[in-house]
Amino acid sequence: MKKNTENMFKGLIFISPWIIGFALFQLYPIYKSIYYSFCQYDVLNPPIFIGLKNYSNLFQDEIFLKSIVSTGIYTIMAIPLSMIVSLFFAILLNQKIFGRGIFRTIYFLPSLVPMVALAILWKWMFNGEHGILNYILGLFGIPGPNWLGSTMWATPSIVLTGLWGVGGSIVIYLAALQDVPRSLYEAAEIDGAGWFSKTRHITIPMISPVIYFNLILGIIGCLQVFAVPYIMTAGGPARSTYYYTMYLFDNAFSFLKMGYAGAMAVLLFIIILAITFIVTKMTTSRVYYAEK
Amino acid sequence: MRYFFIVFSLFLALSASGCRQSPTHNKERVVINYWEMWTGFELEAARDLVDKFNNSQNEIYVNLLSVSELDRKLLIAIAGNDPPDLSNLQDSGIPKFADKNAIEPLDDLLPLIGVKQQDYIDIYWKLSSHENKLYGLPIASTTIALHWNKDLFKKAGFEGAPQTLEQLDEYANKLTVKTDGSFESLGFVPTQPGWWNYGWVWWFGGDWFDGKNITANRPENVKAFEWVQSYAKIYGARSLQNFTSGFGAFSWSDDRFMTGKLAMVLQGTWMSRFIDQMSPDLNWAAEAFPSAGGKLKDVTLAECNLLVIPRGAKHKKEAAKFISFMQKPENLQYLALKQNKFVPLKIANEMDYSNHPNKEIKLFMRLSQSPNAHTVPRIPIWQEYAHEIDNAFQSVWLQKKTPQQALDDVQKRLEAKWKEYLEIKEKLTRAR
Repeated sequence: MKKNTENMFKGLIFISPWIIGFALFQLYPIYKSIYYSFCQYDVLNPPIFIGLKNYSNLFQDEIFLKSIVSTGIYTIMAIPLSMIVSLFFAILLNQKIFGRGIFRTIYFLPSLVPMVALAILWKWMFNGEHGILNYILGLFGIPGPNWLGSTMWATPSIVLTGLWGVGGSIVIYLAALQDVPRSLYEAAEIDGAGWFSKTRHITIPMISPVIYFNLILGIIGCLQVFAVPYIMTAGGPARSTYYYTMYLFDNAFSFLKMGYAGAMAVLLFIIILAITFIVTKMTTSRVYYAEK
Repeated sequence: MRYFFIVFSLFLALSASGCRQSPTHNKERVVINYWEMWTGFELEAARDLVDKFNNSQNEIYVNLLSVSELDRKLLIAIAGNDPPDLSNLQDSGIPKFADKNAIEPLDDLLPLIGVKQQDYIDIYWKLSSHENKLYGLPIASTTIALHWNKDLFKKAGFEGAPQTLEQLDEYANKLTVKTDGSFESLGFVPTQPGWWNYGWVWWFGGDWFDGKNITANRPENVKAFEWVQSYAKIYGARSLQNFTSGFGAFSWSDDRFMTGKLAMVLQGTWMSRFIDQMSPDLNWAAEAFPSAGGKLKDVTLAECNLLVIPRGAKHKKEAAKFISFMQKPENLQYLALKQNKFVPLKIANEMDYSNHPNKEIKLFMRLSQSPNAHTVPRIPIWQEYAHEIDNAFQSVWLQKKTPQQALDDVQKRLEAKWKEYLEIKEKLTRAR
């Protein structure tokens, strides 16, 4: 028993840098933002407690509601696309082809580019007049749109930019693909299964936990999308890319409504929690864990 | 492992000492920190004056630091009770900072600084004040005016700048060259440079605030936004958008006015500096931007940078002494010449501007003293207001809303915000 306590104590000491860091830089700010969400607080004056007013105001705030809708649209566009693209490339990169290692590196590289650099680069590629995208479209006689200046094309442009970051999930998929037992494929081949049936009935079910993992991370990432649209469109045109976190940021740091922003943060947390819960419930029967 | 620790601690020690840039003459001198928003040539001008001040006496040492996104960082530093002793601030920030008690009123320090209201061009004193208190002193002032390309005008057969807005529209039309459905060059477009989307209403006799109420949807404002939309309608929103999306940032060498692709643009005092740098052969001139029907003369927006003392500054008196030094006419003049701006003092009219880098500087100074010189509304929620106006402007430009609709929406939202602001203000006053 005594040994146990001692071990526990030593263990705690070893992880104390993390505990202290977490408490100081995560737990305390989280607690504070929850507290401020019930206050009117502008950072420079002491907070005034106003109860649930921030929350009730939020639900009457057109911009807030619009930002939820546009974030939803972005998420619905981005998630399936990025999942399909990353899985597709992972399967391709899992084939035994010449120079596989080089291809894997090439596909992973873009995800190492910092978000800000990426956004600025794509901003030029999407440029209505000088952009390379419209230049290529022009070669085929198609007049390209003003991607980031049009309410219709701005969100798809940001989704496309986001695809550059799929390298991370490709790597995770690849690891999972290599874990699928060869024997299953061999058995299927004996039964006369083709590439498609093998993918459909062996690969996908076997890597389902990883698909689930990428889905959840993808949803969380999309609901918090900030850096790319902040730099590429600053929320425009006409607020078509004014996503949740951008409105939150403006409330906190441009308009100094920390309480209001705190309420938005708390709500975002609840939304993410609820969606994660629903997705988990919906996919439980479809995710295969070997030990079960 | 031991070597690792030695190297690591050495690294830490080095980086820690690197953080603190120790001034060379700080023994027994009071060091005051001064945050500056500029970079490049504007920062250099400020640095020259700081050096001059530091060498002129041995009691105070000013430590100049260029800070990006100064507005935001300054507020956080003040909230964290560790502000600089002195900071540059744009005039539009004064109501917000003053309202939140984030900067010190300077009225009591005026005798120490040694200046008085009568010395200043009225509008710049107004820009330094909020609710009858003085919160800063202007160091570099600007106005905006129509810049026009003389060569393009000559080619199209125009003698001088347009005198009415209608004339400007007509010139713009004739100066626009279109081939195969896409633009070669444009006469004028109200989305450029896009910094004062709220400003067009002034040329129609409108404004956003009447001293008491939000006036977003007053008829003059609607007219101004109709005028903006007319450009999207006449020239075809889509091709115009593509053309304008190709515009580089104004200091870049592919700025459309500087490359002769845009014949007229609304720009500020500083523009000539960039023309000299990027496109020295450009044959340009400036004139007051014409108003609707030519009814209003010399309409402009006046802006300035101010020196302010943040709340919680540790060396207020020393900061005031530096402000006093900066307010000396010869130092303001040095800054004006180097930053391509002008002196906010009334005696500026008598100063020698023959070697000013902007050949049109007299025009900009005249505009600042016009009864039709405007400032952005002096209300603490202006940033939110401008955000709404920008959104309305984009909706109108993209023809998603009619000007009336867009401005009605702004009116509705801002009235609610203004009411909320007044309520909170009352609560805070009571709490204090």
